[in-house]
Amino acid sequence: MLARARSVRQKVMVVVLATTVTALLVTALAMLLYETRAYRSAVVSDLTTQADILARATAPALAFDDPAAASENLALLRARPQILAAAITARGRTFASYRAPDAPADVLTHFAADGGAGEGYTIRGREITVVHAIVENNERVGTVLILARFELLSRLTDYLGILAAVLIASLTAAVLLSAALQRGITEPILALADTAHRVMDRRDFSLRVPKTTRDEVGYLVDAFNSMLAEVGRRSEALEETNRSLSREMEERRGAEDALRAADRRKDEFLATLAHELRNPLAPLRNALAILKLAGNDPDKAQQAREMMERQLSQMVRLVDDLLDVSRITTGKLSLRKELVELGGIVRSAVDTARPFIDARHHVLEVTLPPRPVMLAADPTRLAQVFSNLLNNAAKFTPLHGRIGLAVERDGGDVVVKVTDNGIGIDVDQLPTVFEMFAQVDQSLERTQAGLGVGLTLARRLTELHGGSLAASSGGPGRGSTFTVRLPLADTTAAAEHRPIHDASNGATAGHRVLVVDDNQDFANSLALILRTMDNDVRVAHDGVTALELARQFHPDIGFLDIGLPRLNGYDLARRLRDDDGTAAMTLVAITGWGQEKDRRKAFECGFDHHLVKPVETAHVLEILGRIATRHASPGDVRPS
Amino acid sequence: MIVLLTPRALRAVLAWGTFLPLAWLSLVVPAQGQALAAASERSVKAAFVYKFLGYVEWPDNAFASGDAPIVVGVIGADDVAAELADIVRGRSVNNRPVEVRRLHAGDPVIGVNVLFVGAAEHARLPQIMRAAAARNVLTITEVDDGLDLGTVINFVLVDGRVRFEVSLDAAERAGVRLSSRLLSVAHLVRMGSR
Repeated sequence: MLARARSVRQKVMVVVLATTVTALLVTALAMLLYETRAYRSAVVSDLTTQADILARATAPALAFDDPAAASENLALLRARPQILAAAITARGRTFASYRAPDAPADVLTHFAADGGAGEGYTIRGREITVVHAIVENNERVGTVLILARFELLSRLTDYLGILAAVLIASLTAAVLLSAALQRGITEPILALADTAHRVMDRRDFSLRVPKTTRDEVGYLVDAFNSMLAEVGRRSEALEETNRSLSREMEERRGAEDALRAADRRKDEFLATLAHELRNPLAPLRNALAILKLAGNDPDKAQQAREMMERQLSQMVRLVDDLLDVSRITTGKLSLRKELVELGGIVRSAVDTARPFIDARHHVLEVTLPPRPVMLAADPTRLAQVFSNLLNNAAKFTPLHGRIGLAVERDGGDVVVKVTDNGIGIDVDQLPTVFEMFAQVDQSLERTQAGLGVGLTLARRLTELHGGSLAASSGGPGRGSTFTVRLPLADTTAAAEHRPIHDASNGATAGHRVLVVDDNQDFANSLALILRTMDNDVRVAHDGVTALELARQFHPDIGFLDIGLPRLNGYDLARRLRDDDGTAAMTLVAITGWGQEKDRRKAFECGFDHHLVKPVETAHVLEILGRIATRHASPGDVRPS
Repeated sequence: MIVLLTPRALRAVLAWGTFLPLAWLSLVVPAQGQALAAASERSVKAAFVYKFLGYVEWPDNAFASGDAPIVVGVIGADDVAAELADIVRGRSVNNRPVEVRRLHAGDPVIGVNVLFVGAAEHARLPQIMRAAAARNVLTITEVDDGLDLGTVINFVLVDGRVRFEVSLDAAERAGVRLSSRLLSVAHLVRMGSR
């Protein structure tokens, strides 16, 4: 029954009912047993007392042989309806007798068997017979016999009826009471089970069981709730992890796409680079052939030389751009800022771009403000920005186009606009023109070549100057405008800086010059240039030879490579500085290593200047001019 | 329920007892009265006298000692005396032996507890009663006017059966007490002053 019950409520009810019924049944059984014994002993005791009284009352009647008196005594038994009959016997004869009005007529014959029997009681069926001796003056004078109903069965039946009624009433009361009381136990459990059900159905871990008791069930409720909270936390954390994982996946996919795009651009760039590098080679070879064939024709040789110069400078610019891009990409490009006047820089840029602009027969219009504009900038790099923009405009404008460069102040900034009436830029392409290796025209039939790094370089350099570079266009065929915005310099500090160019006003001839480089072509070509300018030049190809040469030769200036066999450039510089005969000479480092730390190390080792290959002749001449000034005033001590 | 037979109840029983239907009585009581022989009558009376002793209380000074015998004096009824002597032989009442003493009319009634006067001495009964008066003597007679003459118990014949009547006044005067149980079977109990 307990096992079949589905619910705790039913189980509790079954327990209560089973307990109640068992207790009631045991009680009823005990009471029945007790009642049986008590009834019998009460009846026996009652009848014995009755018989005793009768015996005493009847003794005189027996003694004086008075049956009438005895009968009268017996007749008083009418008051006891359960007594069916009574008799007094003496000496084997019936002295007096009594029969209840409702007793059967032959009831007195029942005594026949008991007549003269010993004292005591006999229960036969539903009748009890009590035999009591009449003793008078220590003599037994007769016997009292009483026959009474012994209604144990009917009494027990009545009793059972009462017990059944009590049982039913008790069970009803127990059911009602337990239904009321068990709520305190079952309802928290049912609430728990209900919530567990709902949690399983809905997978909703935010549900909580209301706590109503502080007993074990209450503890269970607490444990369940905290378990739910824990599960909820964990599943939330899991979902969060999944979300961030998918986000990461997306990011990765995006990064992968970007990488792939960059890779593709790099491939394209390599193809372009190979093409661009190869382009000048054909004219160079042709020029060489012309030089061979032309022999002594000075006009043709002159033409070939000019052609070679143009192609060479084109290649140098290409490689310079590449190097700059790589420096910017690796974060190694640093500016040498000084206070400069924008007009000079613009002029320098125009000078650089002029040959290409003229070659494409464009009209260039430069507009400068009336008052000089001062900037804190690296003049070389800033000039590079403008020349790149001018080159770009010239490139993407059909022949005989118009190019404009206008400078104007705008509050704390200066704005430089380079405009053209060229092919313009599609609005869709505007955001991508500054990306590295990007070229608007990807077709093989494109008219304009280039590496696609010019604009990138321009923008990065502008940004390094704290400015910005933006492109705009009216659309394809409507020209483009590139706008450079740069912050103006604090002009109060202008007086402290003097342009470096002012120093170069000396002679570039008559110096004793030492050139050291293990690249013989470079060393010899530089020596040739310097000798052309009437200088006394000696050449060495390793450090040790250079040192010995310097001690004999006492040069005014030395152009030293850093990477040298036997003794490197840094050590060579230190030795030269340590030697009294060469300590005063001007030392110029010429190296492929152009980073700031290389520059710093060069200065630490005693170099006065640091030039990065490829070296422009103008720079070399400028440095020569400066030592010339010093030499112009003998006795001038070189500052330490 | 216990039936208490108090004296009052007894009197009530006695008052209407005679009207009880006694039809069934014949069934259990053999017809012994009709042919009651003279000898039988004497022996019944002797037995009754003996049985009376159990229902009578005497004052303490009526006996010389705790185990002094109950003395029954018999006047004018030798047959009863003889019968009684047979009955009491070897028996005791209330731990006292019973002694039967034959007396003659005129004998002083001293040291006697019970005095039975036979019908033969009817004439001298008043004298005898006077002698016995105030001496704690239970007097028993067998004449019709016995009670009138002042005896305590008087035998009568009813329907040929020996019955007896009791005078409570006489008992009181004699200084003896009769048990109510005895009264319950008396044929007649006389009360109140004569």
